[in-house]
Amino acid sequence: MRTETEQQVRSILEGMPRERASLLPALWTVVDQMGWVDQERMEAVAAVLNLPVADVYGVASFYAMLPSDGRTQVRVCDDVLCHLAGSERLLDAVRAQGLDAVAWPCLGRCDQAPAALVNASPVVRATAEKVQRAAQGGE
Amino acid sequence: MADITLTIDGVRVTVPEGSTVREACGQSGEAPPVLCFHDNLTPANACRACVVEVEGSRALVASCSRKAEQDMVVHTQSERVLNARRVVGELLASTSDVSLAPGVQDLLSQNAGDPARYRTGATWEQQVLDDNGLYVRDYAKCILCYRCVEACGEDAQNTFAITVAGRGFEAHIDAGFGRSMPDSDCVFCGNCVAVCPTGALIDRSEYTLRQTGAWQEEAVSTTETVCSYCGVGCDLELHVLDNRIVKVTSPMDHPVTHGMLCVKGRYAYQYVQIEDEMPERA
Amino acid sequence: MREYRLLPPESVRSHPASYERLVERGFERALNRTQSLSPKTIIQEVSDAGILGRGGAAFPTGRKWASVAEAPFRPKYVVMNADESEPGTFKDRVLLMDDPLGALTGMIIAARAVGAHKGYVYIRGEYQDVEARVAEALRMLETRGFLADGLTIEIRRGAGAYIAGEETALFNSIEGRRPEPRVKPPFPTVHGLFGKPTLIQNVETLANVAVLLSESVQWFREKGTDRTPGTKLVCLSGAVQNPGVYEVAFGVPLKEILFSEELGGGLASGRALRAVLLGGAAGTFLTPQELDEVQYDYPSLRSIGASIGSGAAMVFDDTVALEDVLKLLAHFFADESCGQCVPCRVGTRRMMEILESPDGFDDAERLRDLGRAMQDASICGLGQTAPLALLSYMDRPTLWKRSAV
Repeated sequence: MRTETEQQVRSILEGMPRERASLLPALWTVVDQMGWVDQERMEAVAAVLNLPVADVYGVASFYAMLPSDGRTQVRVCDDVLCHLAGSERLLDAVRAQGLDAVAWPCLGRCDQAPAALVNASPVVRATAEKVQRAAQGGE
Repeated sequence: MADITLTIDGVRVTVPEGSTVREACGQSGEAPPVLCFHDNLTPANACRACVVEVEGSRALVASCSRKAEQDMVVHTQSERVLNARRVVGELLASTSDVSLAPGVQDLLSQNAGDPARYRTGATWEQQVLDDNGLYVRDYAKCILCYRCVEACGEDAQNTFAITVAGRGFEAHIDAGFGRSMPDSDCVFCGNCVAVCPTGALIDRSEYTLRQTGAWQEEAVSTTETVCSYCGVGCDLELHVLDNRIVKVTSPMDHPVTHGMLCVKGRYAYQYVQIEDEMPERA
Repeated sequence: MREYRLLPPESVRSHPASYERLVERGFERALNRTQSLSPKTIIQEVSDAGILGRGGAAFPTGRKWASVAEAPFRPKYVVMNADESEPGTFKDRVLLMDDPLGALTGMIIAARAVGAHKGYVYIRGEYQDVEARVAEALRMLETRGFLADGLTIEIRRGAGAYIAGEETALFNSIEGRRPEPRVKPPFPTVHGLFGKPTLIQNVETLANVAVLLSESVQWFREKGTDRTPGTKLVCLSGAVQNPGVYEVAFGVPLKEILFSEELGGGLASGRALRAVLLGGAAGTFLTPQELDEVQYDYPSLRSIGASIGSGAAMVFDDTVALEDVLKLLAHFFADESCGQCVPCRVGTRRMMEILESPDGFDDAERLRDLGRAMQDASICGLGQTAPLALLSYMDRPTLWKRSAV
């Protein structure tokens, strides 16, 4: 018996080669099309690609970026240059606006610090207001 | 096969092609210490206890997996090597409970390691997981050597019930989403337990006896026999304490099992001693 | 002082992913020209140009290509490493956004030279804007028939793991395994992606190939030094007036990169330079005196124990305590260690804890023993280089807080 989730994932991954090398693209495809990838969806990915569930979890849990729920993902860079540019204050201010933000390793935008990422969209020379606007625009 | 000649600590050593540096070291003197390496498993290269200095290599080299090459010049006792071995032991002791890990204890004592030197914060202290009747998982003792994952996977059982999950200091052994073993793909062959070097995976029988203080390592005797279940003919070692079987293993060098068994061979031995518990016949 | 080879000059106005851009930048010429050259000739030109890998290791590119071309096994793969994630490093982002066709042209030429029919562009998940740009450029190249000889190129998106940028970890990521680095040897040129001979190159290296083959070896070597020909992208960040990515010829005085008007533009008025962290998070702290003495090329920097690394130059003025910077770097490496080997898994954590403790910097012996064990015994470059910035700081007492004031 296939669950509804598995059928949904199966149709999303239609045409993707059923091999281990498809794992990361499959996880991203689920995120891109269904919004996030949680345990049930990962188990479905494992079933579709014919991989052990533990293996899928072992791989997915290595990566920090795969969302496990549908909340807006706000990531505030907390590495050297952004930190010196006030990322701690920015993180607090973003959280004070009710967004669920996390500190993140270098976003590769040190020339425009502080930087943040709202879902997949970069916000540079970021302020809490800019982040809020990006979060609203993205919804 | 052709022979390879290399220099180890100033001594010329000749070994067959395909030998590892560690095997070559063992021929001229003492083989470097190992923690994660196991004769029957793919080298994980994870513990780094076996590192040696190879001239021309910037970093030290894991001797357990690196193949010996013609004219290699190897140093097993250089200052860099000894510092690395010592710190590896210290780092493990700072993280995990190594009380049942003789390999780590030896590494510390042989290199003047101080188990407290790097106890500066986080440890792997955590709850013992006792979720099945056959073995117990005490991951506070784990050193993440990868042996259990390999034995469960491609190197022996091909069950793939467990994996390393997470990363960095939070990396750990997991059956997927933190599931209990009965909820996982585990077939309870216990091969992970057989290869665990630290007591993180331990047969429930031994664990229970240790908890009550009744486990006496020196009083355990071993009897060899052949498994009576199927026709494969696996060699069994029955570990007996007070005339009771407390653990079953298979010799790691046995040509049939390579130390690996199935759930019946390893754990289904209770019938042997069930008579003791039956009421006397009239 | 400021060069425009890899980066297009401002006069180039065409859309970065367009056919017009391909022509305007000379990349179409490079693609057409190499179609009529033998793989051997292409590799010879790359060798003669003296291009060194721009990902950090500075390995001679021509030698790498020859090694993959000569490897007896098939299929072969070519991989563009765009998993840029080292703190202070952002050149590949700028290069791929502003001129994606350069690196892609280099990749197509590389595939032809080594005999690969399948390529992967691995881009970090945090760069999805870059990914979209590269995808657009790739579609244009496909539509116009520039992917000759059955070559297919697939874009792979990372998912938040710095270590996946290590070449063998990147292979594991593509293969659907945990991105833990593999032991080398065997090297990727013989045993890489899916266990096959693989050419993996940084974005900037491939862009160099494109500009070289659109011109000539002689032209290429007109910039830079004899031992390190060509230009380099520098990621300038921190306390300079104009942070950003700048292209300079190898061999320019390092100080000029910071202070030249058309480059860094110097520090804000009233501020004094404390140090430059050169090469990335795993780089070397240089004192203002050292900065005055060196040129931006490999031999000169090696003389003071530094390296170009990823091309990062993080500039700190006298308001910054380097001890705070070191804590942040230690935090980064502890977060990004894969956890596979003991010296790195536990070592990065302990280094962070020690530096964050009240008198952490005082216990030099404990820090040095740990740093050396990580450097010597870690499996890959992450653990091996994680202590470098700290060790460089410890070797330079003038940078210590207590010597400042």
